[in-house]
Amino acid sequence: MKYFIGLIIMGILTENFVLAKFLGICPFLGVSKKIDTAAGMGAAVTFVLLLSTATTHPVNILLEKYNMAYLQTLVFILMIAALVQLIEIALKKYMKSLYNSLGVYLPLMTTNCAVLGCVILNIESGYSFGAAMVNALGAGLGFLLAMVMFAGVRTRLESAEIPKFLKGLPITLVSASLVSLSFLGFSGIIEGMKLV
Amino acid sequence: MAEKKSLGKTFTKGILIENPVFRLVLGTCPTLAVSTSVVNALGMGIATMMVLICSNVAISALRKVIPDKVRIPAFVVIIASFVSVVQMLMKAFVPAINDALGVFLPLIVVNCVIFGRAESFANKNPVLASAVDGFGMGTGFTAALLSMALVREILGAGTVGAGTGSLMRLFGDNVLNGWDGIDLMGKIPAGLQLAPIAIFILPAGGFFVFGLLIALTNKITAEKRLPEYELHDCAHCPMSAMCRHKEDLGVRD
Amino acid sequence: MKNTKEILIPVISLLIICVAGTVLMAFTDGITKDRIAENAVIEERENQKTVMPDAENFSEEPLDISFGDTVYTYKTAFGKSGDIMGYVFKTWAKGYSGSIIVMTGVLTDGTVSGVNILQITETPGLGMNAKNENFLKQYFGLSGKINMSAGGIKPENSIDILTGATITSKAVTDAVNTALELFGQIERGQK
Repeated sequence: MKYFIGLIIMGILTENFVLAKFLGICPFLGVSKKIDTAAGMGAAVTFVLLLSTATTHPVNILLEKYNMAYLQTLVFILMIAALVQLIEIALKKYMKSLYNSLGVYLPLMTTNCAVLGCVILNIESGYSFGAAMVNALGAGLGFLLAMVMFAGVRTRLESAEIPKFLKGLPITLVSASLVSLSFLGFSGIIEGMKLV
Repeated sequence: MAEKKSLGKTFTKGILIENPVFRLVLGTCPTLAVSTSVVNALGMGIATMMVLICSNVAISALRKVIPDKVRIPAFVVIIASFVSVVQMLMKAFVPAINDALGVFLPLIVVNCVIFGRAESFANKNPVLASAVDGFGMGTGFTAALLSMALVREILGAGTVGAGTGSLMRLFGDNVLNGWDGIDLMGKIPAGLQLAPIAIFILPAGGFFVFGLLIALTNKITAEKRLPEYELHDCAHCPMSAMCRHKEDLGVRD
Repeated sequence: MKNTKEILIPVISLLIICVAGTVLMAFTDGITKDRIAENAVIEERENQKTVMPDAENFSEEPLDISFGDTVYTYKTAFGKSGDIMGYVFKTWAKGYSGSIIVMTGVLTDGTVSGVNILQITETPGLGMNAKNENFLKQYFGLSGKINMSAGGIKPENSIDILTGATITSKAVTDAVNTALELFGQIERGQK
């Protein structure tokens, strides 16, 4: 149990996917203008992360059993793409309300490196199925937290006076740097809480 | 003659005017993650360039055969195959670089530079032009990574090209006579030595340097009156063909 | 009829591309597989060589040895005439962020012949400095239980900690001390 709590805290704070691992930067910069879209994107990523980990983990065991680990990248990206399509169709048909809030973000998931990155990292770290799922949840929640926090920072930036050439993306990146810096303060927290 | 000129243009546009990293803002994840040292940046740049040239050539050669309906999955399969090949080659011949790049090597699959070029160039142009485009874009990507890495490594670690030996082992055991980068800090007389600013090789430093370099590119291009690109609009998103919700996301088309 | 054709052609062409890609990957895997396996062996050998430079060869398979609840591994190092020179231990301890895996060479007289860090994910510029040769060579020749010193009067049998990275220095020292403990176990077992 302690181990799982440690994994979640690691995903959210110390090893945050966006701010410490640089996975999923495109949506982080692209869809963080408003807090509600940022939250929607974060929730969609968490959802897809959990489902894709749940499906790719067993498939990888098969691949390794038959010595075809070299197919990992191809199989995973295709599975994620297919999964995203299936989720979209299923949500549209059976859960209209969830589709209305998350459906918008789903097509962007296939090329989101946070999803493929998490799947590959889970396998490289040799996590068991349970640990991989918990890690995916931590990664997703960390992504959500970073997105929402950063959207808050960006709404403040709107009214700030910014030098001409820093306007737009450059100032966004510099603020991202400060947010990332603040997360650095969490390092050592897991060892400190004696969770691992 | 005219054709030669346009090929040259195809090559050079990738380096500054349409630089994938600083101008089109594609492939930000690997740019930020592996630019902690010059050697890593070079390894990543070369790996991406290899995949980019191969996938551009393959997609361009098959552009009339692949049915439009399954275009995107077909591109994904082609790109993923080349990425896996490059990954295996790197694991075998430059294991140190493979370890340093880690998960970002397989993640070349989702690098928007490659998908973007497949969709917007290779799918519409002949094989030779696509190869040249891949080479130019790859060079631009590598140059951008190198410039980021140079700033970050000098300020953050006080070295230039540390670990070059492990990359060069590819060409024999002692090609560089044991040269392994320059230790800039070691060159400063003792007493004046400062600790390097480690924050620059941490993630926060990556965001910071990237922001400033984009600002610099914006300034240069504005002075030269080059056309402006609307950053982070849907035109450069490789998924834009499939995406039906552009306006909902609050991004301009 | 037209409808089936419309579905069939894309499916078949996609299938052909998939097969071609798989063949390409399988082919590359065939060429690179041996080389990748060989790389791991070479790396292991080089690591062993750095922690025990005088040893002629090492036992092939690592043996398990337990200390408390944890199971570590070690290999025996042989000298020129085939005599046992010492042991190479693979031990680990918790650093500031994640485990630090350390390889320690211990000679038969109980002194450390070298320390090498196999895996470390500490803060760059601070904890990462533990990989520097100047830090690691402090362990050379020490034995028993190694202490740490943070400036001032240096106690017996101790190493200087890294500035700003106390936890990392402690983790590396703990791992080396574990190796020395394990060495004691082996020695006692032989007597």
